[in-house]
Amino acid sequence: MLLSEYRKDRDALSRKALLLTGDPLGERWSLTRAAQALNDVVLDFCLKTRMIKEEINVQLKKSVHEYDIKTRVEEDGTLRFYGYPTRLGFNGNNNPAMWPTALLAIDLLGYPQTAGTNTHQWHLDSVSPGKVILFGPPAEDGEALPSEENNMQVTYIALPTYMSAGDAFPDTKIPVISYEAFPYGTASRLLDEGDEQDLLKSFEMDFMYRKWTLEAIADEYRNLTVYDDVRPG
Amino acid sequence: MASPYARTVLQILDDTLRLCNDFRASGSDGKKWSWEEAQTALKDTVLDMVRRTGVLKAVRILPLQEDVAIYDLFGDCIRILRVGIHGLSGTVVLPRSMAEYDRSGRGMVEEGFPREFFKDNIDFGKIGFYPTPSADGSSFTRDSDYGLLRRVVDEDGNVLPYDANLALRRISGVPFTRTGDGQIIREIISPYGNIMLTFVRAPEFPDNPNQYIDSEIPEYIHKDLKYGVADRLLTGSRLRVHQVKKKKFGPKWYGVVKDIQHIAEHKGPLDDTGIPGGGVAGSMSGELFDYPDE
Repeated sequence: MLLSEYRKDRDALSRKALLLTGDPLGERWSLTRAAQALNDVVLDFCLKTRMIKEEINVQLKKSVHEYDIKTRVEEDGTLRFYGYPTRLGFNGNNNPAMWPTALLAIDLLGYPQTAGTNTHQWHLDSVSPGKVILFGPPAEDGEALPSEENNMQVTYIALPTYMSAGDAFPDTKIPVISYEAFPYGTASRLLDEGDEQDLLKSFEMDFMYRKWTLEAIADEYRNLTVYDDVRPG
Repeated sequence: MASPYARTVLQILDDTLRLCNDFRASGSDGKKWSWEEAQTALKDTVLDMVRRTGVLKAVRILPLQEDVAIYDLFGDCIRILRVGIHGLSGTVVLPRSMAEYDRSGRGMVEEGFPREFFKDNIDFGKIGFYPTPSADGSSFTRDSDYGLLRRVVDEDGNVLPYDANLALRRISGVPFTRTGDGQIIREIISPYGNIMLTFVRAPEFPDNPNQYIDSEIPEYIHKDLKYGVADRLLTGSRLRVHQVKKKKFGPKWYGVVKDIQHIAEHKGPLDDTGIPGGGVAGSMSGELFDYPDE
């Protein structure tokens, strides 16, 4: 049986959450409100586990050191919304990835921020989320997109696709085995609005949600194969 | 363009009053807390979050004046992160305390381009520079009809030569006439001789509750702002249920605050190896925004 056959859509997950809150008929919380809490939980889960990665190719401009990646992603229209960057490549696979650095490190070494002729380092210290700074700025314009030549490839943690309809499934990049976490997280958020008894139950649901989230991280990043135990570190 | 995860002020406050068991109707006062009180709590929560995490940053030019050592900081400056001079191609201006000058046993009479800045012994919201600037910084305007001519570009983007010795450079009171399709005058910002200030800035907050909070605050934390606001409101309640809720919402919100700091500074797996002693857990940049342990 394929894993996809275990998938549950938004309404099914919301109903399960309502069942966990002790409100299976939706007398206290409507299915719509449960669905909103469900979307919040899926977002939280994806950021905590860094589950969804996307890549965007950004054209570099000579001497321009600041790039607004979030806006570029939104303008693209085909990519998932931007979370935060995890890797910056340069010139496709022809050059090594750019290295992350810190403004303080640049200052301590006594460099001006325009030093260097190749863009080989980047930092986030002097900009708000959504932007990156290159050190030093590009020596020449990159080729017109979609060419990767002399351009920057940003891999980022993305926000999951929003479930707007009742029959929508969680983002396709979320493994089906992780769906189990969502009703618990949803129930916890709904129960936060209740009385003392609800709150006790909310603590329990929150614990279950965290447990499933941690297990997803372990599944995704650590327990990959039986050979894990012999890998250094 | 806001993602579907973004919440307006109205939505955040509705959610907050629900958490506080005080929701009556969307946009209305609750029985215990008024809409205005909730809105104030939201503003305070966002400001506090930005102060703790340093998540909103701005880079701005502070013009220097001859023989003036102390300047007002920008009105939205919460905390200075870096001071530089001569723009991006210039150098860093390092922090120093007045005690260090005093211990050196010398007068503070040196003039020139500032090498150091100080904040102690002067009013809050001000910054002092040493040596004292010996000249005004370059004037700076953007795409102005007046001012220092930096570039003339034709419609194909070619930079045209011009004789800088002509009076074109500064013609006080005489505007340039722009003709043609090219960019006749462009970009004449000059940070030379001026201070480039990088700082944590105060968040923007809309008057209209149907709008979003500061667009540079990531939308993925909008869903959790209600916990921070509720934590503030519930502090004043003597009801047992509210006190129990506060015990849950407070730590939950501070967990979110810590997460946003972590995410804002995160640079991927190489971050752990790229910088000596680096990595999110103990990066040098992270120390700039050191978050107090709970």
